[in-house]
Amino acid sequence: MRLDRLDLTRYGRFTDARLDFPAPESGAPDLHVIFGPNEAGKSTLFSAWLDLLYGVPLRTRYDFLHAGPTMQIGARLTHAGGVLEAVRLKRNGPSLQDGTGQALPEAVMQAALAGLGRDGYAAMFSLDDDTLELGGESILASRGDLGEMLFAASAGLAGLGPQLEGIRRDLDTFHKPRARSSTLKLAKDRLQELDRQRRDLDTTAGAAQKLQRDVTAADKAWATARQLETAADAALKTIAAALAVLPQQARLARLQAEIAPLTDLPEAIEADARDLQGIEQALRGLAGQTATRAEAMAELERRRAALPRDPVILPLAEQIGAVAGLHPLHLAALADLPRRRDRLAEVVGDLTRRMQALGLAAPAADHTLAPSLIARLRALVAQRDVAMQAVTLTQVEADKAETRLTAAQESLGDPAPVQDLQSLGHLVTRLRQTDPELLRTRAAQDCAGRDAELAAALLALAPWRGSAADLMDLAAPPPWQIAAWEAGDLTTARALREAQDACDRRRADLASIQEAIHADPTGTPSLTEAALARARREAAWAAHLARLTQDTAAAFETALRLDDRITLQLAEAMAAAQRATETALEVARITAEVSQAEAALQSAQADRLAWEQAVAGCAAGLGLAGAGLADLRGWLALRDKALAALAADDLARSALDRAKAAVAEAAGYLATALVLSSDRGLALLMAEAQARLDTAQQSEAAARRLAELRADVKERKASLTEAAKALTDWRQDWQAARTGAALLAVPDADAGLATLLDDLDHLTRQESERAELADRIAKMEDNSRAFHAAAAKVNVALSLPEVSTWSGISDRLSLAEQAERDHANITADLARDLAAQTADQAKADRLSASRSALGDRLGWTGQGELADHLATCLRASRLRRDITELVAELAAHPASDQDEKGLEAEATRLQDALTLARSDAEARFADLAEAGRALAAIGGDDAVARLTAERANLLNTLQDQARDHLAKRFGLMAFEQGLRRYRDGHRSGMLARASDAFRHLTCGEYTGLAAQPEGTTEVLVALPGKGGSKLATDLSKGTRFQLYLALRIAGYHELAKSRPPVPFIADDIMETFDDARAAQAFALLGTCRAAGK
Amino acid sequence: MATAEGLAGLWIDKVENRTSATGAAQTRLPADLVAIVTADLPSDPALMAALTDLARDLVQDLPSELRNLLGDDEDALRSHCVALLTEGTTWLLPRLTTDEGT
Repeated sequence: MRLDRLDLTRYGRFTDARLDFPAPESGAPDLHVIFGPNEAGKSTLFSAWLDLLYGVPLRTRYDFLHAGPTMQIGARLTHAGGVLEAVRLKRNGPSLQDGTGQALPEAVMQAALAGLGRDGYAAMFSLDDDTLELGGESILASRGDLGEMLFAASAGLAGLGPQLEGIRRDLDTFHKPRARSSTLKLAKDRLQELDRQRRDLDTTAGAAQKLQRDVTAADKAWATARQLETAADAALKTIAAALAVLPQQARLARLQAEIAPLTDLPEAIEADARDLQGIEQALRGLAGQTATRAEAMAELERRRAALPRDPVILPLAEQIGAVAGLHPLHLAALADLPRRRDRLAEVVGDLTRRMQALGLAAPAADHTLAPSLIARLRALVAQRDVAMQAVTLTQVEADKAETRLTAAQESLGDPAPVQDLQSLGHLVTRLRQTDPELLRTRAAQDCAGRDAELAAALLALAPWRGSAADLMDLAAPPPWQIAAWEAGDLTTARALREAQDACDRRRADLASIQEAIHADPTGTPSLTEAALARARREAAWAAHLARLTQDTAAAFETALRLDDRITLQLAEAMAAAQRATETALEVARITAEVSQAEAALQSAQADRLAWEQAVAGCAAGLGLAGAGLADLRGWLALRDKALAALAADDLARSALDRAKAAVAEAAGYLATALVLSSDRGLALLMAEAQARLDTAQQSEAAARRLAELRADVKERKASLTEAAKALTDWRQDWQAARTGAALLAVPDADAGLATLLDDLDHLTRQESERAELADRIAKMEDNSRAFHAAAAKVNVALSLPEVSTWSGISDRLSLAEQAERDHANITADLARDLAAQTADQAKADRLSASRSALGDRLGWTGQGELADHLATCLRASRLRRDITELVAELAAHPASDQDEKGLEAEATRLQDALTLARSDAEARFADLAEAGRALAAIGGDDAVARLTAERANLLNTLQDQARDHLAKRFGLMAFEQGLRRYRDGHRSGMLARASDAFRHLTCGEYTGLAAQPEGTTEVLVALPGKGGSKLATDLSKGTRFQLYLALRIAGYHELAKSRPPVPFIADDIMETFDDARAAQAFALLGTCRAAGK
Repeated sequence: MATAEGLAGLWIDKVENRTSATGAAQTRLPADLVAIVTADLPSDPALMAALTDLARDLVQDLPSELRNLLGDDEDALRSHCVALLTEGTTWLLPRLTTDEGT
């Protein structure tokens, strides 16, 4: 795809901008350079190009001038399918249009891009300073690994390594040889544990039934023991209840005797006691409070009467306060005035001496200068020094420049006019890029190599001998004939083998049957012998019936056994006759089959012989007498290789011819440009052209040097003029500034100007300090006088002498004011205490009334304490309540007929019985629990089923995991091998191209790149022109960038083989390149048919 | 499953979920690399021998009940290995991405 025009209709800072990229002339590189200052919009162009191809993103940073919906980019593209006028808008829906505004499907653009995505474009077809630096860093990171570097630069496969490593780690967690904690190992351990548990649970059904019977018996024994225990416990409780009644009867009698003297007392409750206690506590508290408060009130009265009140001084409080405000100022003046007066005298003395030194007459104020004027005068003095120094320096530099110009004119003379050799320069540059001599040398080397390969291939055809032409003319069997013979080899061999097997089997069958016929028994009795034996048996039987003796019985047995044996032999003979008949039929059938098999065998042998003769005939025709089909096939493969070598040799010769023609053509061009004969040869013509170019370059450099020196002289003289003008301006400023300071009427070049300015500055500051001290002393004296006048007025009002001490008056006023404040406070406290006394008395009266009412209700006559009477009433009430409860309890539990001793003896007996029964029940329960545990331990529950289920599940899971693991491991192994094969297939071409590009980029300082084995990998080394080799990681930063650029260019060409190329864009990639290498980089980018900055 | 839970004595031996992508697996790798992996390597005797050895080693390391995971003889083992290789590459290729993107 090619970009012919880019329209930035409304995008970023551009409005209706248009860039044309015209197609180059035939043979010229399709390279466009866009040059502009920073912020000119070069990066915006790249973004616009991608947005045109792939759409404007929802969030874009190029909508700051034109709002999103109004953004528009357009372009004219040429691709394999024709020309495409495309317009891209910013839309959520379809955003691609053609030149007429009709919507275009995205597939049109994708077809032009051959499916290349936005990220892929940015990764493979663009390069900027950031990616170049990252590429240089990746060279360091890969430590020169050849495969990684080449593919990081081309197909972007470098990122596969970490992904594959992650997958491998995941797979190793399931199974890894000699791993201690893989998933498989853990699962096998678990299976063993399950098997062990299952064995522990394994027992016979009989044992389980016995244990079940034990459980049932134990359960019954435990139930019986529990019944005995319950009965003993109930009897014991009955006896215990009867024993418990006996003390209650005695207690009832005691209580009734106790209440007899108290029957007349009224009922009282505990609340009455609490009420009475509260009343008496409150009365005691009130009495204490009242007494304490009365003592406090008496103390307050005494303190109030003793206060020292002073009603005379209180009205003068405000006047005394005013005097007190003047007192600190008066004290400060008394302390500070002597020091101030001494300092004033000292300053006046210094001032007088400085005036005399400067030769000035009083007053000093007439000679002071304002600080701003002093600062300006100081600045002018500093400027004077700079201006004078500048004039001196520029004069020296102007003289030196004149000297340099004169010397250069004498050494360089008058350079000749520069000859225009631009065309010759272009021609030489192009010839260096294409380097026809090198191409011819390579083509010759390649041709020689091909010749050697062809000769080796022809030699490999032995015993056949002949030239390449003979080989071409040789009539070899076509591939289909070889395939037919291969098929015939299999079919004839198999048919022959099968026929031989069938024939052998039939013959063996026939022999086996015939052997069986000969083995048949021949001693068969006749029918007469059978009838005679039967008659003898009947006779013996008749004799035995007649006599029934031992002898007749033995005779009958003998006759009977003989008859049985003959009958059996007859039956066997009949069966054998039947089998003989069947065997005869079988022999006839197998004999026929043997004949057929032998015929088939002869036919197969004939076919095989025909096949062997055909192959042998073909081999003989090729001069390979005695060769089999495999030999013939191998020879034909060698023949194919030889023919391929012959074709490659022809191609190499054609390339050599073209290279020679290119050298001759280049020599012709140079000869024409140099006006020389082309017979000199390309090398001499190139040398002559370079010499002329060097001469022209030297003349141009001399002229440029003289022009630079003349410009320098001119510039130095202008600087001298400018410095002189600055000094003149300073003098005018100085005259204007010193107008107000007549004392400074001294020469402007005088070196003492700065010292004189310092003296006047000191004089000004001393005069200022003197004026300030005089003012301060006058104000302090005024403060002292005002204090003395006010204090005298107060003394008179208090009838004191005018010169009394001021501190005594102040203290007297403070005491009088404090006494007044204390009097008011005590009076308020007395009023508050009196009110509290009245309230407490009312409360005590109310409590006394309540106490009297309680005594009346309890029948208290006033004798003794009310509290004691209340306690007696409460005791009577409690006795009556206890008697009532005891009578009710005795009624519910009637007394036993037995006395206490009898009951205790029975209780002892029952307790022993209960202890025995409880012990027995516990023992029975233990037996039951143990029997239950034994039954549960052998799997009376579903333990076995659970173990079996877990084991089956574990095996199922493991089976799935193992199969899944194998599939993934296979996929990983296949991919890694495929990746190696893919890299091996692409590496040589890429390395050769990258080597060539690197040699050009470094202007021949490096002759190229090479792969060097290191361990199991290969590392990339650069080959310096001076010899030796250098690791990629040892290159300088700039050269490393150039190596990465060379790799990217090689990668571009590699990609161009497998997909249609798109414009290649580079941005700011030559910051670290010198001019020569930058020129080479441009030339290399031109080979990419790229468009970019 | 919900119905089966109510039946006494039911034994569910294994539940398999067989799922697959709805469309052809997409890969972002170079087409010739994918062709090597999917077309060339399955017929590579050296690779298949290596895979078979790996499978044999793993099977020997499995519990005895699973030793016939890949069949009872060499022919069955090789047949399983071919199927597993196809399965593995189908699983792996869509998971690998390159800088190229799409």
